This record gives sequence, C-alpha cells and structure tokens, in this order.
Amino acid sequence: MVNLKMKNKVRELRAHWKMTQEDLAKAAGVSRQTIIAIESEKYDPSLPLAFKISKVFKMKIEEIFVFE
Amino acid sequence: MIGKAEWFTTRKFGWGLGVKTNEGIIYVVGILAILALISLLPIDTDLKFIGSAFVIGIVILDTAHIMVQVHSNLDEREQKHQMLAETVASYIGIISLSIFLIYLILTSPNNRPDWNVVGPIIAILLAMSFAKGITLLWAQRKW
Repeated sequence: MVNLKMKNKVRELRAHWKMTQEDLAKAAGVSRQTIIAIESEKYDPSLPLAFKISKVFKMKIEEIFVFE
Repeated sequence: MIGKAEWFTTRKFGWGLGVKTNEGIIYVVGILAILALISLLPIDTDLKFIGSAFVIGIVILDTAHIMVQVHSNLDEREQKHQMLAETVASYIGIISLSIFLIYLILTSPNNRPDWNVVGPIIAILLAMSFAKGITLLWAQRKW
C-alpha cells in the first residue's frame, strides 16, 4: 500500500484572504488550535470540515487539500 | 437550566468541569454561598439537611446538563483527543483492577480469596466489558 500524506494550502490561503487563525476557526466552527494543527499538517480534517474550509476560501477541496 | 456551557470547559486532569469564565466563578461561588447560608440559618437541622440536599440535587442536574453541552461543543479534533484519553484511562483501569484481582487470588490462603472483595472487582470488570459491548453495538448501528 502506498503511504500518502495529505498536504494543504490553508496557511497560504488564510494569508491571501488576510484572515487570522481565529477568523478561520470561527468561520469553520472549530477551535484555533485545530486550525494551527491543520496548517502545520499535524491533523488531517474530516471531509465535512475540509468542505467548510474550502467554502470559506471559495475553492474546491482538491485545490486546498492534496495527497502527495 | 442555570449554568451555561460557555462558562465551563472539560478538565484536562480528571473528569468533570473546569471553570472558564468569570460567570463560571460567580456560579460556583454563588452555590457555595447558598449552601453556607442554609447552614447558618437559625432553623431545624433536618430542614437545613433538606435545603442543602435540594440545592445539591439541582446542582448535580445542572452540571450533567452543562457537561453534555460542553462535550458537544468540542470540535472533531478535540473529540478525538477526548476519546483517546478516555480509552487510555479505561485500559489503565482494567489493567490495574486485573493485576489487583490476580494479586488477591495469589496471596489468599489456599488460593481462596475473600469474595466480599473479589466479587465486586469481578462485577466491575464485567460491567466495563458489558458497557464496551453495548457502546460498540450502538455505534455500529448508528454510523
């Protein structure tokens, strides 16, 4: 089985949209610590949470979260 | 109910609630003040007991209500953390009880342990395994 790791562009997109981690956390309905964990790729979000984040950035999920 | 979930948080060590906001502190101090007031009132001891029991009963119900809300306010990552912590705690509990049970059997005269002690421990272990099974069955049916 191929061991894939999920990468994401949440930090870059948050900076692009000039959002704080707190803003994104509120918009996605999670804690700021969870946003920190996602940005540092320590935690892979569930599909519903990934959808919420992609909705905040008005992008498709696969444009934000990629398997490498 | 009286208290609000946003005033409290889950405790990192142990179970139950930790105070998060000033409103939470006021809530706790208020309850203690009411209990102290009841104990100081110039009334019959039985009445004091009934009054205190009534207040404590309300607090227990309110705490249970707050705890459910606090847990449902956790996000998916925090819920995973809680589940992992509860799992580790229950494993430690099971291992400790099992070791204590074996110790009691091995150190008892003629390997005949005191069933007043061994019985409840076995009952607790059976209750834990029953709770695990029921929870798994419920979870598998739910999702």
